[in-house]
Amino acid sequence: MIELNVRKSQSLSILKKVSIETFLVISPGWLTTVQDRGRFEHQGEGVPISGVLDNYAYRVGNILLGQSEDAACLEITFFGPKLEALHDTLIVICGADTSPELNGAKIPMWTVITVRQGDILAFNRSNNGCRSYLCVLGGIDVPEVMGSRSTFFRLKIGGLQGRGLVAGDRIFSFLIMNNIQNNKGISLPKEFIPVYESPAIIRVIWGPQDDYFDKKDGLKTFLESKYRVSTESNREGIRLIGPPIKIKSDMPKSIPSEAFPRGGIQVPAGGQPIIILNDSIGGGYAKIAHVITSDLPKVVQLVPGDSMQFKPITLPEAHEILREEEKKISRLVKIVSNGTLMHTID
Amino acid sequence: MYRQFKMLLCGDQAISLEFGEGISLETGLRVQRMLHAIKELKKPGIKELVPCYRSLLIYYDPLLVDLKLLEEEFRRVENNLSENNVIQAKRVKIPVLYGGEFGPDIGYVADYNGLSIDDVIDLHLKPVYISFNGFDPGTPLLLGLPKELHTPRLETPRLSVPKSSVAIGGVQTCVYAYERPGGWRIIGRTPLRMFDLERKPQRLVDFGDQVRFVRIDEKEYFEIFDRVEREKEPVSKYIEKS
Repeated sequence: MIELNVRKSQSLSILKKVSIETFLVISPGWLTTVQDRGRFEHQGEGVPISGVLDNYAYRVGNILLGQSEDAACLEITFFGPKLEALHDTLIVICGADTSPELNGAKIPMWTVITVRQGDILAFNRSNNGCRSYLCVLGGIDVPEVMGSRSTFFRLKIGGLQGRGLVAGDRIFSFLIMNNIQNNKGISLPKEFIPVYESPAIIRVIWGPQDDYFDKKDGLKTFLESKYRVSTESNREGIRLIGPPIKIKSDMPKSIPSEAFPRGGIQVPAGGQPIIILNDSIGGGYAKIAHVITSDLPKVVQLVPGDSMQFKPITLPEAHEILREEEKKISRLVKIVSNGTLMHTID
Repeated sequence: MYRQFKMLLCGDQAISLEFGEGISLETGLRVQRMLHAIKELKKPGIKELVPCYRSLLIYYDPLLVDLKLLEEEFRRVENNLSENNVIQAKRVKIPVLYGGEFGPDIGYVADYNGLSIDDVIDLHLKPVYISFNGFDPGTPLLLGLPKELHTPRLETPRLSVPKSSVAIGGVQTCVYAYERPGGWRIIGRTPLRMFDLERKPQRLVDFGDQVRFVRIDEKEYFEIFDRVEREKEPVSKYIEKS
């Protein structure tokens, strides 16, 4: 018999939410962290946004569960954890295919799965993509720090004491009183499931320092080469390996340090580009371009050894892509709430 | 400093207003004035403002904001900025124990600039510095270091600089809020914590604040250290509203 711990949420909320022990961590996998949409409005104080790297997979997972798109989840990096369920719940696994299993039987990705108390949920090594998202009914309950539950290692904040999961951790999730029977077993329609491929074509917007780079040995090299993801990549940034991108000889090799959004591609003097991600705020090197928001999921799903090639587009084009994607997400929210999705299992 | 800001694209959800080529007090003040003036607009669709040395990063919602109109509005704001556009800054006094075990590089700074150690301390105490936040919360990078103290960074950064170290890097001085790797020359240490999540205010120094250093001896260092660490003496006594 497992004794369940129920506690009042430590987060501030008008509604008194109650959370319950949902998973016991048997093994943590390579790196598994609690993340939500991110920690906003603190960058001026030097606190990066953190949060899920693949915002699309995360949103879709929560939408399938019929809950807030901001509910905290587990971000699983490449090799997944083994968890024991301490309470009945519903889950969705999105993103990289880490071949999840429930009590030893393979379970589908992008699908609402029923988990019973005592079940063992195990993940394997990813065979497509780099990061999986385990979304849980109600969302994971850890204390909010500066308005977010996201783990940020450097300040040791968010998640579980600002660190990745370790064996023996207990994961709480909020109890949901509503009956959402309808969502059980629903699967994401194929048109919404992203394809992770290498080399990935990554669309970018030039700037803000593209004028620092040599036309031929800088800008042209950047566009015409394939860049490979280095093993020295993490939640702060993805280091790329490829033909060096040259800065004009009369331009300085660095700039006054400044903040820039995730997806910014900075080029140090050595010419090997770095794409800045969620756990960083910026840097002191010239930025040749920025990855468009809609292509960031493709970037963070590449594993070391995979490659990408950049394709410039205009700002209006990027905004149109963003609008289309939001429309697509709204359409999904509608389909899910209408209850018209196929029930593939249960 | 540029006569007018340059608006630069940072991807599809942010722009950077750039006010000058390099780091200067004049440019830094322009950044802060614009920061406060744009905050005052309370414009829907502006999501987050991040001030830097010579630029202001602005996150916007492209579904709510027309960038052309936004730029025009920012131009108007810049044209109407007045020099007396007061910044809500505080004055902070930071006690420092210079040299010795806590300031291992003070001798290098003295030798490099042909000064005595006492000269280095006197010169460091002289200015009222203006704070810029670095990329760690609570670590103020301070502008206003006298020319005589400008000293290049270490060729190979230390793997760890102790928390609360006071250091010189090029034309700036700073106080490290955290233990972290760093290449600045360490000249002293303050008994105060620059950042503490459990405290109010969490940050001792904010962007735009004026900072003065005060020299203390070893006995005073440990007295203050004891009071703030053990007895949780409020740091507000080191802060003055301006």
